[in-house]
Amino acid sequence: MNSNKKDVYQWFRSTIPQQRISIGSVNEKVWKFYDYGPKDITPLVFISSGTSEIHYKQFVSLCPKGYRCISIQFSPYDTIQGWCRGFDRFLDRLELDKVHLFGSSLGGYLAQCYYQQKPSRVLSMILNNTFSDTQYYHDNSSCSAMFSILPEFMLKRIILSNFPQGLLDADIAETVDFMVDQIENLSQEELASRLTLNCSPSGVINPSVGLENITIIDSLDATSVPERLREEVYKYYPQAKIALLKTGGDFCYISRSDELNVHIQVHLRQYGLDPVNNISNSNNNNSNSNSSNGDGNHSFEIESKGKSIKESDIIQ
Amino acid sequence: MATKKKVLLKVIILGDSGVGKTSLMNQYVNKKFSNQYKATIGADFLTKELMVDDRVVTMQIWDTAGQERFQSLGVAFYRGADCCVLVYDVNVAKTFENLDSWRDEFLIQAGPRDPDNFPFVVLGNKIDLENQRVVSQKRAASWCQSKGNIPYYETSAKEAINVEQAFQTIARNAIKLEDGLVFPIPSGIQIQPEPTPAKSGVCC
Repeated sequence: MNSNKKDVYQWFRSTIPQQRISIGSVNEKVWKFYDYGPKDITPLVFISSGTSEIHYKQFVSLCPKGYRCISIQFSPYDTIQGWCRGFDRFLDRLELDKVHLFGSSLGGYLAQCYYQQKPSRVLSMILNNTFSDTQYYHDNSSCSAMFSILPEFMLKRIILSNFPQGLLDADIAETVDFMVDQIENLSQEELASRLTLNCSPSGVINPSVGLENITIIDSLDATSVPERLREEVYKYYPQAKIALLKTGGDFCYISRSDELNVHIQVHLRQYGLDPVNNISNSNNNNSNSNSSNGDGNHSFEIESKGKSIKESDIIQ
Repeated sequence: MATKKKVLLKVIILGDSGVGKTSLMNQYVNKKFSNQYKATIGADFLTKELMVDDRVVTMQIWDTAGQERFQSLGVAFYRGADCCVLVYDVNVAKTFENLDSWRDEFLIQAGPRDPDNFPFVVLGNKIDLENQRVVSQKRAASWCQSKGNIPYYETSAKEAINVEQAFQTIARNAIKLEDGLVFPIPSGIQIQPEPTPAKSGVCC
């Protein structure tokens, strides 16, 4: 079981290349990301505080169905405004006029902040185990002004102290292990930036400007974001569709990826992306263009089907 | 704030296309009915909070596509279901005869721990069209009895007959399963570092 999960990850890494864009002028501002799927489709952009790899299970499941996924690992910024400007420029560079956003935890907060600044660019949002106000973190961090000068190991320790501990379901425990591994790949600057953003003073999000196209996916047993903060998000967006998962912990995009992916599909279908229509369209109308440019995609599909069969075998 | 643990109940509605699965869900959650028929694509869900025996329960009701060609979401949403609602149209015999296969399909896909005691509820819908009726109440009730006393309701999504009562029963039966589950959950894996046994020189 363990080795097979690793296979899926290895396969993801060996199939989809990580890309880098630097949007800085004097200082390098490198954004790392994965981008896969048809280029003419509005992408779903995954924002998280972790590495760009952590959404691999969404790529493996959604891309073969015709969705375009982009997962980012953002360059270090120390203010929310700076981050939003940077993200905006990043989207410019990728020539994306409109995006769907998926944000978990700090990523969800950043997605909401970006929506406040550039509502016209955001078609819809999926928020996952996140918060709408950083006041709680601002109040509870003793050294938020000093993150940038703390050594790497201390920053890691601060982040890991928030990770779930104790008795956990096997899937969730495995996921936590994976996430701990991934933290190793973040530099001191990146870690410091994420903590600083997470503990920045509150008041960025204005609840009166509510986007309607929102799905909030929360797992009931998540612990790193207190329930009170998660419920506040529901109040900020009374129109949002709330999709609860019984279990899954803080990183349900890995531990409960199949359920979460269903929610993503249901969400995107409501807001314009419909896999069934896409398939029938491409079969009926674009069959020519498909065969001409679809060679790469084709092998992707076959490969991933092989994987998914394996996965379901294990589950049974 | 001594709040009890939140309860989420996952309910899945199955049945042939056109029997009124979406209408029943809409009538229950939104109190709305539309005569227009629009095929459900894939699956969608609505949530509703309700009280069951002094507990606040969030019900996540999944409405599925009756037509096979629209079942694009795979079987992932079956997982973790607490109750399955089988719907047929009392005016179309075929939809009743297919209940068997829908029930089997669910048990295969969801793979509940205890398939014999998994809570199902059967709804015979569209009773407002009484003069066209072909499946008698007696016939339906005896089928339900033969499958382990499945609760049976005759409903009309259009006239809102029995919809509220049926979903109350659904919630009550689902929560029984959820409560029952508290006991047999196996112990998890401890991820805190355990004292590693002293290394012996011998490999394996």
